[in-house]
Amino acid sequence: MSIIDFLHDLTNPDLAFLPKALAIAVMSSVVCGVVGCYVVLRGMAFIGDAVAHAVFPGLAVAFVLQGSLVLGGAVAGILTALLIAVFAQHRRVKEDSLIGVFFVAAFALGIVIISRAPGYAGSLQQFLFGSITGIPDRDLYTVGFTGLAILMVLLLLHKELVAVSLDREMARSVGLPVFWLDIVLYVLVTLAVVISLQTIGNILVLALLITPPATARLLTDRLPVMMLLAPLIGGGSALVGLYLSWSYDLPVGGTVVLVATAMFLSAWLLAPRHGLLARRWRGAGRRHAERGRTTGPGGAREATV
Amino acid sequence: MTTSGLVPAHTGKQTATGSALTVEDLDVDLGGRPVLRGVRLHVEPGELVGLIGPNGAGKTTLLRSVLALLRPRAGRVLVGGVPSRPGRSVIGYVPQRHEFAWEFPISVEQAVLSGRTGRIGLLRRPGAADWRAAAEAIDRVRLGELRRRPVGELSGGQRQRVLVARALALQPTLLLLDEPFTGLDLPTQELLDELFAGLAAEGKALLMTTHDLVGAMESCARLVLLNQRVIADGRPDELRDPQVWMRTFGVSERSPLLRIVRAG
Repeated sequence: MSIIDFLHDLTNPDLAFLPKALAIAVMSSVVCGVVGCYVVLRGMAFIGDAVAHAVFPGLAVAFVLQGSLVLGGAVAGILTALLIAVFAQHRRVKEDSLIGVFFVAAFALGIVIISRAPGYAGSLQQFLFGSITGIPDRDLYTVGFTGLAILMVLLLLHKELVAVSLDREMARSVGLPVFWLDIVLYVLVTLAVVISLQTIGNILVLALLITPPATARLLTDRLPVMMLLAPLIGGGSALVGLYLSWSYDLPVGGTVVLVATAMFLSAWLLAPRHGLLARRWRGAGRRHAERGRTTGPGGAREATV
Repeated sequence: MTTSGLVPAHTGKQTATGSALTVEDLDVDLGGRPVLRGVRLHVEPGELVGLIGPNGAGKTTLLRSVLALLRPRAGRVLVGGVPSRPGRSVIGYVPQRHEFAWEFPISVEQAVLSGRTGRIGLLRRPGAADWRAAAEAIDRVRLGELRRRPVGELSGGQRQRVLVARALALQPTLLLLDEPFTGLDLPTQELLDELFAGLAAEGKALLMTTHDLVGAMESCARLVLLNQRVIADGRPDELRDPQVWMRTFGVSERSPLLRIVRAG
């Protein structure tokens, strides 16, 4: 299917769900791209995964009660994130083990709840893998406003979140509320996950949070650039993924994630400074040059990984 | 002049308000175990004091207590004559290098500016005064030419200087340095030594933990030997008695440590 045909379908009133799905997929990918920068830079990928699991019982309850999925998921995700933050104050059991316990338990609870609902098999698949049909109009606004709110909070707390990510002890010593900043970040991650669930699905949403920022990180050493590139890559993946999914009748969540993964692999190979090819090429050049480590300005010394 | 009896004599001479840092009879427990007991310590403006002791002696705990990140069981910490409080006391903290996320995509300039985050305050952007303080700090540690370099591309010595500059950006009167020399080669150590001596000459008070005894005996005006308690406190030439070193480090009289002490 050509791009023109895709544009035709987007404007076809019989296919009204298609532009809606596209708008939601792009908006949520953009938001996830920005939030994901913090997740990637702090090595919180596991927490992102965990939050994605934790929202599931909320979705299940919302589904059974015919309520708002976004609201249900947000409540469940935030509750579980708070539980972790509180339990993590005791150092006997490490945070990653706690996450392993609580978030998977939450997921299990979701499965049990949704199994009580009639015709659950179909809806289960929709939750897990995403779908572009059956999105109510009001979700468009919920996703839009929630996304804007998330970006606003990140903009306002950027300096503090960076300071905490750089060095927690120093952040504490200058009086920053490190615990509350962690909570805010967890809540923002949860909200970003929840607004992305509709189209991408519970399992694949992690990719929106991690892959575009990781790709952006390969392309730049500057945080502002990274935080601009990541949502572009995420939004672009959503757009291209939805187009491919519509054209070839592929599952939308999976297609979007595979497009993002393709971008990551391309960046891995082709990134101007840190890509595999650039390294190889520089490595060959360096063997001809002087040996030994230069550390002064203009030196070719690389950070050890 | 080498027993612990020397300690009260030393602190007794100083008035609390004149010292950049005064630690009074500090007891700290961690996880129910005693880590520090009856610690008394003072650092004057213009003084570089070395805090020396074996692993687990409570050096880092003492620094964290000075930053008021730990609640002591007893005693108190005065910074510039006022009880220490996070965000209120102007302390330049230079943590061990591994505490900092060096893989973060941030330039030297931005990393140094991040030291002022608490000062700038919530919902505010750094102003002219913040940029000026950061620029002065960067010049002070001679990283001017690397100000736009990503921190991940710096050498160990340059990284240490970034952390010092970040602490200096707060324009503190007191600097706490945690193991600044660990893992650095000799020329780099020398460079840092000069930097610290220069900062002391400018009137800053520096308290530094270190494992480098030779360097500390050379460059510190005063050494504090710590092992749960302050075992001794005095100028390096006052600390020639092997007994205090044996007590601090729990080593026998055959330890090569004592040869260093006598030679120093």
